Formats: sequence, C-alpha cells, structure tokens
Amino acid sequence: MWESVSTEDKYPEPTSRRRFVKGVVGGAALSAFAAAGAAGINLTTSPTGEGGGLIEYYGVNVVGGPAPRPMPQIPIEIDDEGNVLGVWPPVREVTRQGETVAVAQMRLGDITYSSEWFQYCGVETFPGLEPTADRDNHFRYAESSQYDWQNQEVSPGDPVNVDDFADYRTWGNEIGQPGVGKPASVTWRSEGADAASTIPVLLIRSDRIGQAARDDAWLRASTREGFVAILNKCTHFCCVPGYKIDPASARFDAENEIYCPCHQSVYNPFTIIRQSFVAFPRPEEDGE
Amino acid sequence: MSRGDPAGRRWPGSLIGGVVAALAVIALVAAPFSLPGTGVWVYYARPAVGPVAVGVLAAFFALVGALGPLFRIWPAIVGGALLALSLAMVGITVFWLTRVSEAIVFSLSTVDALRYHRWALLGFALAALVCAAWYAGASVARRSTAGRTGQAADGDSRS
Ligand code: FES
Repeated sequence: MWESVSTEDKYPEPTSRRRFVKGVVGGAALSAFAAAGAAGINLTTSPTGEGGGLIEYYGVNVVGGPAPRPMPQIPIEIDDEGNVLGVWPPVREVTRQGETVAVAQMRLGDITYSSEWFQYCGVETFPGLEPTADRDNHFRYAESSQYDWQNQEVSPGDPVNVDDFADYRTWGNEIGQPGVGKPASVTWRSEGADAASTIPVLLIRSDRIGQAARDDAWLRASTREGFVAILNKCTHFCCVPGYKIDPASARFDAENEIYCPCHQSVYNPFTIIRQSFVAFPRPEEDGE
Repeated sequence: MSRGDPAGRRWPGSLIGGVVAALAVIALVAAPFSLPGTGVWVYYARPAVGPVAVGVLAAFFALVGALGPLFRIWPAIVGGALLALSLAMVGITVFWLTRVSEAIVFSLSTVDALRYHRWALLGFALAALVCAAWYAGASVARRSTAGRTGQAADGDSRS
C-alpha cells in the first residue's frame, strides 16, 4: 500500500510519460534526418573539387607568437633587364572527382609548387590567384609603403629592379641593425585589382639568403641574387606583418625579423622551412 | 479548450529561453558566411557533420518551441522533442569542435573574435539543452501534481 502510493507520487502519469517518449522519438528522428542531410550537403558541395586541401609548401619559419605555421614563399626569377618576378606555374587541367579543373602547378626543387600555396585568408578569391589568368608576374612597388627609401626613390606601380637594391648590404633604417636585409612592400599579379584584393608581398634582399642558397637546393631553386619573396598575410588571423617597420618589434626581439603587430607573431625571413596546411578551395567560376 | 489548460498556449520562461538560445545558435552558424573567401566551408566541413546540421536542428528547435504551444501540442511531447533536438545539437557541436583544426580558424579572416566562435556555439547549444530539460521536466511532472488535486490538467481535454 505504502509502496504504491509512493510510486504514484514519484513518477508522472503514464500518459504524460508516453507523450514525453513520443516527443523524444520524434525529436531524435528529426535530428537524424538533419544530420544525414547536412552530411550529404557537405559531400556534394565538397570544396575539394575546386582545389585546396592538404598541401605542402615552403615558408618563413615562425619564431615567436601565436602564428601556427610559416607564411608561404613565392619563388623568384629575374629577367634579362634585371626585373624581379614571382614564378607563376604553368596551368594544367587536372581531373578531380570527375571534374576538370585548372591548377597552376609545377615541380620546383623537391616540391610541387602550386597556386594553392596562397589559398587562405580570402586570398583564394583574389583575381590574381585565378590559375588561367594571364597576368603580369612582375613584382611592382605597392601604393603605400612604410619604407622611406621606397617612397623617395621609386614610384608605386614601378616594376622592382635589382638595381633598386644595390645598397642592400649596408641598408638600414632606425629599426634594428643595418645590413641585415633591404625590404620593399610590393604587389604581384594585381594590376587593376582593388586594394582589398591586391596580393601583398614582402620582398627582401639579403646576403643571408644569398649565402644560404649556396648549400640549400630549395633556396637555390626559389631565390635569386639574395632576393626572397613572401606572401605577406599572417597565418594567425590574416594581418599584414612588416619587416623593420614597427618600433614595437624590438620589445619582442623582432627588430630584425618579420613582426606582426596584431598579436606579436614573429617570423624569421632567413629560415625557410617546409610544412603542410589545409588550403582553401578557389571559388567556383561564375556564369560558366 | 478550457482556460488554464496547461496544454494550451503557454510559453514559460524555460521555453522562451530555449528558443532564444536556438536563435542565437542559428545566428552564430550563419555569421561566418559573411566573411570573404571560401574558408567557412572548410571550417564547417571538417569533419563532415558540423555546424550546418546544428543550425538545422536549432531551426527545428525554435519552430517546435515557438509553434508547439500555439498549436496546443502536449507540453510533454514538445518537451521530449526539444530535449532530443538539443541533445543532438550539443553532441554534434562537441563532435565537430574537438576535431576542427585551429589553424583553419586562424586562416578565415582578420576577425579574431572567431577564435571564440565554436565555444560560443557550444555555449548556446548547452543553454538550449538546459532550458529543454527544465521545460520537459516541468511538463512531465505537472500531471502528477495536478492529478492529486483531482484536476485532469494535462488530461485529454482537447476539443
Ligand atoms: S599575429 Fe595574429 S594576425 Fe598576425
């Protein structure tokens, strides 16, 4: 008797419980339906069809701060007139998941160099990264520069020439030591693009690179006459770092390094290492 | 339909709280799509089941929570459905956020508040779960209390 009373007190009425169970079953069915549907959407719209995915690249080593990986390097060539260019690989059609996509890729040194190296932080949508785009590969001086020498001696849009860097062994400014390397803020494959989709590049000419290239196969293949080029997009939240432009860098031992003012990441421009990352896909061509 | 019928149009605080949390989940799932670039697809699609499914579940949650009392569906049914939906939301969010790589979050854009995005998503999914449990508990327990007074409060009094 006592038992049955307490059971009734403790537990809800069967009808109420049955309805609750009905609700749970209905909710669970809806959940399974939604999860399966979403997984299906992800698979059918899988971005890997447009390039991207896990790829290996070379970039400037992170020596401090929160950046998770190196900023990618842009291999360099120098033409007969002494102009400095970024290598853009030949475009080839590859079949991915039954679809033919164009990818700019080539074998360089011991690695496959491709346009996918630069596909992060929204750069993947920039017109300059479109593999088939017939664009100018010359590095050109950027519109706004924080280097006095660049503002005084050259004009924005001019192609970068080796002669502009003749004093690279002695050049210095008020930040860090002189003679480490002479930098410039340049753009690449971005003529006619608006400021928001201009590819920012940091170009440095340094003896350290020239010397390291003597006994490093990759640097021999990707640098010329001490020039090294880096896609200047921080791998930690996409800011544009600088080399010898921010006096605050000295507080983080970064006055001779590449320093990102956003969260104090530090990259050593003279240590190039190999790493992998997940490249984002390029957006699908529209209207075709 | 008598006045005071608990199966009638009543939205207790737990239900309103749950619906608000579900709307916040939907907003959080949708927000990164406004970023430039294609990174959000990579962020959401690794692993395959992630925030898109959570957003759909949150939409179901908000619909059931808002419309259940409007159509006078039994609170116990509504409570059970909300509990299952929010459990799935929390489960999928945990499954996803323990697998998503932080380097991908860093590569999305200059909006560094995104580092908290996945935790905020989990927070609101948990809030929805707590509200759903509270509401379900109250609606299942209601009958036994009401039953002792002889009132078939949660009974078959629908017209
Ligand atoms: S350190 Fe965070 S954006 Fe560069």
